[in-house]
Amino acid sequence: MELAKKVAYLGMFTALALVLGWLESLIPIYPLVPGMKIGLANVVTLLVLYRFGWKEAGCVNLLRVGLSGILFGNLSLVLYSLAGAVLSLVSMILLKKTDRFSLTGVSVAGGVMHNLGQLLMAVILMENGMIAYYVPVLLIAGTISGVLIGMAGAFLHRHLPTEIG
Amino acid sequence: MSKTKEEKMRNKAKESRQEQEGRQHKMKPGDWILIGGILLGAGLLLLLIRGFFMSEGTKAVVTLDGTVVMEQDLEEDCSISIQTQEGYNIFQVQDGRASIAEADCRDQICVEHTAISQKGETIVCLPHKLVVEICD
Repeated sequence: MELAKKVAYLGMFTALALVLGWLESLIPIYPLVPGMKIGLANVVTLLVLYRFGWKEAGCVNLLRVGLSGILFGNLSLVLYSLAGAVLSLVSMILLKKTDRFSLTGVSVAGGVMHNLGQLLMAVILMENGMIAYYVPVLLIAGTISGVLIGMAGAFLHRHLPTEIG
Repeated sequence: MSKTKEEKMRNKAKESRQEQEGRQHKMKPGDWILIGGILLGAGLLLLLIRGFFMSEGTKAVVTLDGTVVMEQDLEEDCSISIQTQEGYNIFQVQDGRASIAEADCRDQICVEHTAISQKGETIVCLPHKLVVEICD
């Protein structure tokens, strides 16, 4: 694929991820547990990972975190997102490499690790180990959202034109 | 001529990729193992945390409108009728667990409450202002 085309697509995906992250912040469900998220933007990460590759997915993801930090948040938000994003991305890349998991399985790992990453950052920032109490809830929540996001990602991956990626 | 050939080959490569990717949409055994493993881990962790944070108390303290009327060791079984201004509650300790066996309060919530033994657990009889709490 031509470089210009690729850059254009990746830019579009980054924008899409930003919008999805913003949309999610509008959903007025106060999270039961800090770190709990649906992770709509992960649809884009998955798609880029499967259509382009891990480097591209990493780029889009980091750009998304950085840009949403500049646009909507503050430093602590960026730190939380970064911990979640990096951990989830690395686990997704590794799982995809083993070839033993489908897109859904990769997405579940991403969702769970995203939650755990945020919690880990909360433990570090708040210096409070008691938050570990939330781990089981976050594991279950991450699995459910991971399955749903994975289904959405698989659907898009199947139906988006092959020109992309 | 050579351009169309190239295009054809590209299309073919795309098609085969599509097929290959088509298979990836089906759930693989690994997915189920992963999901099952995570849920199992979460369940075990939950049990572990419960065990860590919740522990058996040693005595039941009965208060009436805020004042302690009796303390009962959970080791000793008993069945005592406690008179309150509004009526009576029969406080019972059996097999290390405290409960209200009988009461003439209007909602009977205290009677229906399961027997308690974990530190911090309470049975409240709101109409009679009676509280049973498990303490260390």
